[in-house]
Order: sequence, then structure tokens, then C-alpha cells
Amino acid sequence: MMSRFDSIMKLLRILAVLALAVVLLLALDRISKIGEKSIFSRSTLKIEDTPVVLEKISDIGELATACYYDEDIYLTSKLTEITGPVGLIASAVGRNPSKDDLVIIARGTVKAGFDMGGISLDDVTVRNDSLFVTLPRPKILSVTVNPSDYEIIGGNNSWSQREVSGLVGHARNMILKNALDNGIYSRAESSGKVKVREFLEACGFRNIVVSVAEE
Amino acid sequence: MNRFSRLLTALALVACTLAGCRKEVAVRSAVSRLSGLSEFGTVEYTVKKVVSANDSSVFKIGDRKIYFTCIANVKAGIDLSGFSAENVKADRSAGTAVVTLPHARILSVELPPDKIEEKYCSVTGFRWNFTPEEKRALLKQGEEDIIAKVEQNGILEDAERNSSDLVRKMFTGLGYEKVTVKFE
Repeated sequence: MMSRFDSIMKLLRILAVLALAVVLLLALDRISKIGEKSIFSRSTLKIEDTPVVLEKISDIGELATACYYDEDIYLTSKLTEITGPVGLIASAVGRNPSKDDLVIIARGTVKAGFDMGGISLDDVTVRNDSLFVTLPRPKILSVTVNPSDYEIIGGNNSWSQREVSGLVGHARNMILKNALDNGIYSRAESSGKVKVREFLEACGFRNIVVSVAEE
Repeated sequence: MNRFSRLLTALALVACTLAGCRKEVAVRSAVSRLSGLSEFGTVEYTVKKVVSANDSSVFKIGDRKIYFTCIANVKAGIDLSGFSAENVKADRSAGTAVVTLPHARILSVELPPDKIEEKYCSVTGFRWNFTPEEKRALLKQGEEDIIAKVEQNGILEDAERNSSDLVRKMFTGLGYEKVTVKFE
């Protein structure tokens, strides 16, 4: 008859051998990863081929003259209630609900410039080879933080798309605020005056006065 | 027992080594840059796309499916950064001008985060739900597909036609009667 101690030891040995096998596999995985893909890594998911539906076409006349680029880290946290047996253990050690972090590194681009479609005949005056042009006030033309512009660090599958979009939206707003705080409008104005003057000089005008409409 | 404890210690050491090999995320400092630009956007397409993925395999028990819808605003036009006097051959006395512009290109693609919606997600069997990073990777592919298909839909041709019309209108307003616009 095997004693109780012996059976526990036998079980522990089996567990140890299994654990060793897992560790060896993991070690092999790390070695196999050098220069190639991990044998345990998930294959890249591919999207299905679906059409792009054209909803609207708009003719525009936007002269973008300033660009602001920003890269920063954004974080949000939430408390998640752990359920089931693990939840009971977590509650016993005072770790339920647990704190989950979602971190993104976002790279955003803000473009500002002029809506040239808003220029009327009154804004352009020609006298011999002199030209007077009044540009409209500069405005934000685009704020871009697309899925290719951010990466997600951590964040388990308890985070919904709505929550992720909320954090990306927050990043987008912060990048826009930073662009405004860093003077994107004044840069758009100064750069716009130079670009329009250069363009008109290339068209043969010699005395060009470019101004921006008052607020 | 002694041998057993040595084995456990070795296992613990290997496990610690492996744990130490985890992918670390370097903390980067914020980077920002403000620069000048010279792009003339002449057309904007608003498009809608369903981004879907079906993750099933004979080697996996259960499958995963997900469907998103997203709206994108795509602007195209011409990059004027290389534009100079050499691009314009104007004769004011004859009232003629020949303007050479660069070919149109996509200038910006915006997928507003609030316009990306997860419409359906199904996970069966022994499968984990999609992680936020997996969803982002799928949406990134959707973004690339939008750019490729919008170009096939003729956004660049529209942008060149509108650029040509706008430049012609502008030169006519400046007193030129015969204006030719070329793209190179």
C-alpha cells in the first residue's frame, strides 16, 4: 500500500515533469523566435474583402499651410469585477474589483489652412501688375488619429470598442488642443501669406500684398 | 526530496528568465512638431466600409467573428511644395498662360473614432474574445483598403479636374483669357 505521502510525492513529480515540459517548450519557442515568427504566436487576422461605399463627393478648395504632429501616451483605467472561483480568491485577498489599464501611444496630425472657396471677387484687386489679396481666417482642415496612427499597450478583452474609441477620441481632442496652444493658426497665416505670394509671383505679378481677414 | 527541490529551483529560475524576456514597452517622451505645408485639396470623398473578419480554423475549437462599420473622409489634391515660376508660362500681353501642376494625390484620410462602431461580435468554443489590439489591427487593414479602393473609384481624377478648373478660374479672374493646365 502506498502511503499518502508517497502518492502526493508521485503527483508532485508528474506535475514537475509537466511543468518542465512546458518550460522547455517555451524556451524552444524563444530560441525559434530569433529571426522568425514564434511558433506560438497568433497568425495575423485578415479582413474580408468588402466594398467601399461612396456616400458623398464634395468639391473643395482648401489650401493647407500648417501641419502639427504630436505623439503622446494616453491612459485610462477602470475597475473590473472578477467573477467565479478566481473572483472569490481575489476578494479574499482584497483584489476584487481589480484595476485594468488601457494605454495607447497615439501619433496625430492636425492640418490648418484656408478655405479658398470662401474668397470672393471683392477679396482680390488687380492694379496694373500689382495684386491685393485678402485671405479668409485660417481654420482647422483635418485632425487625424487613425487606427494606423496608434498602438495599444495592454488592455485585455474586457475593453469594448466604444471605450477604446473614447480614449482615441480623447487623444484626438488633446492633440487638437496642443496644436492650437502651439500656435497652428499663426503658423498657417504666416506660411499661407508666403505660399500665396510665391504662387502669384510665379504667375507674373510683381507687387503682391497678401493679408488675412480680420476676425 | 533534495533532488526534487533542486528541480523546482531550476524550474523557478528558468521561469524567471523567461518572464524577464517579456516584451517591454519603452516609455517615450511626448514629441511634437509644427511645420509649414503647401497642399491644395480640391475634392473630398465621404465613404463607408464594413470591416469584417472571420477567425476560424480546423486547428481551433470554436470560431470568432467580428463586424465593424466605419466612415472615412478622404481628401485629395495637389502638393504645391515644389511649385515655382518654372511651372507657369504666362504672357500677360497676349492673355495666355500655361500652368503645369504635379499629379494629384491623397492628402488626408480621417477615420473619426466616434464613427467606428462594432456592430457584431461572436466568440464560440474555447476561443478568447478579440483584444483591443486585434481590433485595431483589423481596422488598420480596413483603413488601407479604403485608401486603395478610393483611388480605384477615381478620386485622383476628380482632384485633378477640380484643380484644373480652380486654377483656370483663378487665372481668368487675373485677366488671362486662354489658360491651359497640364499635369506632370
